Amino acid sequence: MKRRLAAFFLCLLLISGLASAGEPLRVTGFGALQPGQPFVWQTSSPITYTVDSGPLGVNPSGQTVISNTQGLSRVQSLFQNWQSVQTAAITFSYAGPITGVPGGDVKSIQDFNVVQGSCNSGAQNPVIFDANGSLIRALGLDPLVIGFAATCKLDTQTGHINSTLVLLNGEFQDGVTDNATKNFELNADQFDEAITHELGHFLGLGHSQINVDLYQGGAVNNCNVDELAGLPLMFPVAFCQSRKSAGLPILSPDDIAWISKLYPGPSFNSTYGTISGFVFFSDGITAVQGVNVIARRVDDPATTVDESKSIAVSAVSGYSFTGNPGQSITGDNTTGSSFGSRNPALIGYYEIPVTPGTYTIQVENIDASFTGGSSLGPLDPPAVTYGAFEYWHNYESAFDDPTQRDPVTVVAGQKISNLNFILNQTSPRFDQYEDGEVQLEIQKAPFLLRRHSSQLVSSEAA
Amino acid sequence: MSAPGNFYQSVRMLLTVGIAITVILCFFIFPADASAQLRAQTAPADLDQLVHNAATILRGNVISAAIEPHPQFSNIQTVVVTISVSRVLKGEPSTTYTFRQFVWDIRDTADVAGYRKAGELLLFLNPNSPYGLTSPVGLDQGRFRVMRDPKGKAFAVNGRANLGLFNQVPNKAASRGVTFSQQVQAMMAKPQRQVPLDSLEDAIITLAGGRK
Repeated sequence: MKRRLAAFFLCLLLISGLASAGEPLRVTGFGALQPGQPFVWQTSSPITYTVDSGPLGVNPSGQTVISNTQGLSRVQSLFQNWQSVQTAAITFSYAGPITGVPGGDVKSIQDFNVVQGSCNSGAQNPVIFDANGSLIRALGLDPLVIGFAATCKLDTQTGHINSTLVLLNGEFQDGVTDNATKNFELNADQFDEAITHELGHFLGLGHSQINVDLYQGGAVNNCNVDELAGLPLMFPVAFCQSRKSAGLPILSPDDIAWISKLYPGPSFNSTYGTISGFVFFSDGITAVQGVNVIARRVDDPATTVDESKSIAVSAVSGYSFTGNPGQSITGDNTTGSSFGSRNPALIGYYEIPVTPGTYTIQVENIDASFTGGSSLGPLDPPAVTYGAFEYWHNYESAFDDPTQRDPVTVVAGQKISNLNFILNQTSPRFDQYEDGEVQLEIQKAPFLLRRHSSQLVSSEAA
Repeated sequence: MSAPGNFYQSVRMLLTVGIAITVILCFFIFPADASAQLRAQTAPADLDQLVHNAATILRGNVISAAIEPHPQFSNIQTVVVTISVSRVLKGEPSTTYTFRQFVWDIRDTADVAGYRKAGELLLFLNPNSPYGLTSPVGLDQGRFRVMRDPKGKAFAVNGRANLGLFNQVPNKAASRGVTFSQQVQAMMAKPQRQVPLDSLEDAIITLAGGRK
């Protein structure tokens, strides 16, 4: 029996897939009027942006491949990807060429420095075309960088994003692939998806983890279409074929849900419901931060699509809580991070906006490789909690069957709360901030003496 | 069937073992480092490209990292990182190495772009620009965390969990007449999310030497 139990527990330890979820990129800190709120743009008026007046793409011979007019149209189209979300209230407005440099064309690091300065002061939100990649190189970056969005100024009291800069590396669109000169190419769909991802950051969206098995399984440019449909555009790494080439819209259900949550339009409350709850360690009391929670639509056997893969929305537990509360392990930050609420009630809290339907809810770890630029959630590096791989069901305990799931039906406008997870086989409160010396005292009912523990006991008799 | 007391004892023992394993694995998989880089979309690169594109490849520990404006361009924030070098795999030998990297998002200044407590890193660094700036090749892809298991064996993982790291590398190398050791061939044949550091460094040296 001991061997069987050992195998069972080890399996539970080992199946805890390394995985993370969607939510705001940053939330307000202790100095804010409302701590724990996402940093977002003010939407009382359109977000204005200025655009480089040079070409978007120039080939090594100096010939223009994508003109300024085409580039401007492209940028407007990419912003439109987010503005088109019907349940979100966000609008953009082109405010003319970039100001501060001759002709509005950012050609050199000197020009970039000027434009960065005006962005830092909140004077403009510039979109820069690096037509041949020379600016990227001057900044010490390499030609593999497709583009980036850089927040220049935040209002940490109100939680508003004041200004952001976007840079597009036009060398990826110059029609030339030459490894010798490190000139790489993407097709237009791949490039547009990469920049739309960056515009998601521009709007304050963080990364999101759903269908991480594609990534962990090493799928490259050949992803299952149902899984690709559910894979967020805000997934930390682009590795599948383009969504468009697979006949999919550029935004996944997770992207749409979260941009709507951050910028709710008039129809948001009549279109979305909310699933919320807490994630606890095995003691059922201590909240866990940094666990990915996913709501997946139950598959409809009447359709050819696997909705459990294609319709899913996620959040990381404790995403509103500070990621660095200040303790002995992270050491030198005794006052904690400037971002995130200090309200301990938020440590294990998650909230997921979903469209009406029936869902299963599950938890998983954030993939261990998602650190730094690819990080998601409040913790970087992500915390791995062994036992953090299970579905929610009505009789959650520290010893339950991780595959048992109870579906939850949500209608528009409904808020379903307290869908709480008790992770299996964790120590009571061991996390990356503690020393691991805590010993788990076996709980009496209700955590142990449930059906599954009985199965374990009876399995010996068999 | 066991008596309940025996069952509790068994579970308690197994939980103790489980916790011990958890602790060991946590320290193995997640050393106390806060690797971080900046949000940007990058095209994928395999090891051959990383080696080819890098001007300097070194392994070492971060001994200092500080945010400061670029000396010539005051609106451009940078992080200045100094590494205590354990091994140079490409580039000029040195015991310490200092570089300056562009930091484009103010939200990344708080953790010094992730270098403050980065621990031991294997870095593939781009050539310095005329303005003294560089960065890891492919950002997260050219920055490997070095981790050691309880026996001291070292492994390396980059910011993409080594996804696609060895794609086409054997073929590319073969086309140039470069051959890998059996150890490296085994590593490339079965890519893992974290690879043995000694095999990875063997592959890097082979690829760097094979590009004459």
